[in-house]
Amino acid sequence: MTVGDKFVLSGAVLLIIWSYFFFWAGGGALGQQASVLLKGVAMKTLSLKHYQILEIDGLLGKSRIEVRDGAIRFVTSPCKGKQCIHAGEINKSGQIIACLPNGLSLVVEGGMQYDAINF
Amino acid sequence: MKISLSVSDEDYRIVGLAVLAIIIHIFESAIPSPLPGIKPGLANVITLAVFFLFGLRFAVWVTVLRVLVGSIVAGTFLSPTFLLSASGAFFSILVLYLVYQGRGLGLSCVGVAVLASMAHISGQFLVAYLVFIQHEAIFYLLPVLLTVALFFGLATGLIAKQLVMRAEKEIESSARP
Repeated sequence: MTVGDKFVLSGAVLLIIWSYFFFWAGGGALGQQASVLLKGVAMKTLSLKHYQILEIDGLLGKSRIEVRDGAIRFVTSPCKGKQCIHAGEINKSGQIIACLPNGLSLVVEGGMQYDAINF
Repeated sequence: MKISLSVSDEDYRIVGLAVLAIIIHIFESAIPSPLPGIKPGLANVITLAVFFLFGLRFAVWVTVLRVLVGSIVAGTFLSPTFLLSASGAFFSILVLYLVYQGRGLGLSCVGVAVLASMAHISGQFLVAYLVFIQHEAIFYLLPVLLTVALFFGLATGLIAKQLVMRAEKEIESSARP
């Protein structure tokens, strides 16, 4: 191995270590709002600051969604697997819960880390 | 009117080497991967060895043929897989070009392989982000992909180094009367 190789290797290792710290640190900032999407289209945007519970019509029926203590979750769902309910609550920017059978997903947005999401 | 294509010895050599790379490419796509998108990329052993033995022009030809023919044989031509494959190849060729312009930069096969594999995965990731999944959450994958790229790059480089050493010995002994 040449000096250049060692230089490249240590650079790569440093980059990787840095990337873990940069992309995995804390798992993102706390979000301020959440969007409810039906088949990928935003239906509603909710603030995470206030307690609220609401029912949204999906493809199969009504899903009940609860916002509490800055987090959002599915409480009830007409789907079979209940994966969306078992996913628990999410509160960090960029986190998603998707209920594919019912076509609904929740996306937490806002926070310090990303100030824009472009589609 | 008669149209004739003259095929030089160099063309035969490029095709032979490209076929080697394509065969490895196809065999490799049959190996199941624990994570989608992670692949050893052993076909690049050929690209690297060709780069060191015959230079940049050969390496570019072999890569372009491998990506095109490999995707046609595997049935992924013009699919998202093909686009990712092509973008990875583009970025690693870019690295080979820079190394070539820098007269080797004092790197052996191993250094070039690691550099190219990191560029390969970064380029693919960038295209995947810009074209397919425009969501910041995929950045969680990047550290893992970079780690895997380092190990596979190292492996590719070490294998290519052995190959180049043996090939050079072969060429030397065949040149001797």
